[in-house]
Amino acid sequence: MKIAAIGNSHIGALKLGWDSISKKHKNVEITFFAAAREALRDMELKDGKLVPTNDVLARRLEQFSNGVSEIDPEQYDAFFIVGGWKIFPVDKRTSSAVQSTIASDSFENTVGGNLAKLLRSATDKPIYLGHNPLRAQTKAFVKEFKSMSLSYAQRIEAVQKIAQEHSVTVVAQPDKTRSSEFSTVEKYAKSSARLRSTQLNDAIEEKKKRNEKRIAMGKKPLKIASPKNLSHGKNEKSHMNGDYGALYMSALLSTMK
Amino acid sequence: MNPYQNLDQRAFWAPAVGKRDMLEISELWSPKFPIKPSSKVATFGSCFAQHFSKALTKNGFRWNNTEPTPDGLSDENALLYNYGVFTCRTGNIYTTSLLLQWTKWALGKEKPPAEYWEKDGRIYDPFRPRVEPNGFASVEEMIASRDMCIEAFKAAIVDSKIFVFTLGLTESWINKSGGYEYPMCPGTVAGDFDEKEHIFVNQDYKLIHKNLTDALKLMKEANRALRFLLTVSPVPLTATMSGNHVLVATMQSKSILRAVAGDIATNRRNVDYFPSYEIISSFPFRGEFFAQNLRSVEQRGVDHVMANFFAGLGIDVEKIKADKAERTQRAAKRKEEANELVCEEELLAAFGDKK
Repeated sequence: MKIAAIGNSHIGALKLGWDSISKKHKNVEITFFAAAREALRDMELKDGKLVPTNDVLARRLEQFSNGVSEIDPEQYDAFFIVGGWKIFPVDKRTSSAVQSTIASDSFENTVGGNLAKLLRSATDKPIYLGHNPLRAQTKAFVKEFKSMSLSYAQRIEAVQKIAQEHSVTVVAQPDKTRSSEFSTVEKYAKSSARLRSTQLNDAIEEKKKRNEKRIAMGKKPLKIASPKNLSHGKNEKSHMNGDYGALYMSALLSTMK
Repeated sequence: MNPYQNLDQRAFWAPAVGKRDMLEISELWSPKFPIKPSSKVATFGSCFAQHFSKALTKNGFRWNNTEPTPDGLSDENALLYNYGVFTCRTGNIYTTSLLLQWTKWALGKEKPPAEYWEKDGRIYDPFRPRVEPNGFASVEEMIASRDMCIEAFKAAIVDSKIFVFTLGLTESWINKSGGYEYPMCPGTVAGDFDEKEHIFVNQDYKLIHKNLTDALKLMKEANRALRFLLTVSPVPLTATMSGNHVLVATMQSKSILRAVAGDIATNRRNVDYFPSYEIISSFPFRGEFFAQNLRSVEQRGVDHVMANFFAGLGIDVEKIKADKAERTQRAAKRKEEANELVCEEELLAAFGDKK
């Protein structure tokens, strides 16, 4: 089975996870298409393919998908859209009409939902949609809001109802990764994907060179963070690690079966 | 020598009004107490009060929003469900008696009545009939939502520095046996009108004064530092039950409300009056701020009212706006850069080996 996985930075954890479990799924081939933040908003349908509307996005997509920037639905058996929308905590005292409207806005007015609709207009093949991971929260935070929030399952079900109208399946975050109805277990965020990019190392080297010049001119050198410090530490609660990705990808493949 | 000789120009009609272009009539308000951009301000009352919240937010002031829009709800839908209109989702509080009712509920002095209205299988809150455009799914849901609002109203009282209240109406509808008040006549938005149970009361000066005094007293007990800014809505009545012509009824209502607000502001150190009513309605402005229906106030009228408000505070709004915009822009840029780095980092970490 050939899958096109399309998403924002949260696809990074899933890619790392997939790398660790792909050997167990030899019949599955996944091509990843990624662009950070909301860049995928700039995709459009052209001649039946999903294509970027600007060069910057095209270069980003090429960078992370072996030089390919166009997504041809004919080439894949299924599509998985990662992120570009969120499942927020919702106070359970909020009216059901407001709850449904939040669910509708989560799908209809977001990058993830729009990509799903765009793809659906081009193909009848299965489309799966996963949200940005729930933020990792401390136990104290979870305790404070525990009794107030609508359950995760209820919120997912509400979005699924809307997505169903477009024949899109919402893939929930695996139970094991959640510490509450609105948070991810902290261990899946800690040591979230480490910085090891040559690009960033290059940037640091360049800064060192600039500092040499500044020192020569009698100016104060600029502060340089070490690659270790640039990696996600305890404060990074939004992005998850490869362990999370492995659990999520396994859940996705189970849903596809 | 006479006492008028020492007065400044704003005390004399000719230089202050008669010889001026209407837009140059100035110094209409000298605030009793400072309202700083950092002061938390709550806004409630008749529909004109919502202009205060918008202007405060727009101009870099700290509007206290105690029942914020739930995350994930679009701006358009937030407005549809009445988030962000007043400090919390009370809907319009037209009368001082309604203000007292909400205050008593919030401070635990009384409990809201069990009454609910049903229409086409949906449930409506008699005390906020328009807050949900299609009503609630059940009575329990309506009560839960109202409880949330009452909690937020309490927060507005105990956690604000300034409480702005716009007096709107003298005409009211009372439940005879329960002794409580509806913001709208039963049977208009929803509910059934019962002429034996639903009583029209056109409140007089004494009653309005007493209810407002009682409400302010209760709020003051809950928050000693709270100060009040009263205004009167310039928006005329949509309809009157008084038996008078609606124009006459409007003038009578507004005059009473104006007198109550002025009296309480004059006699209490912690209460001030801001003349938005005069700026829109008084004859030197020739009704120019009203829309064609002579009822709705046009945006330029609201802008003129708020310009007078900020001028009275002696605050350079443009500077505050510019400072806030710069701060916001700087923070957004920092966040953007941090997020960009984090997000790029995630992708580079996962896909970096391909390069």
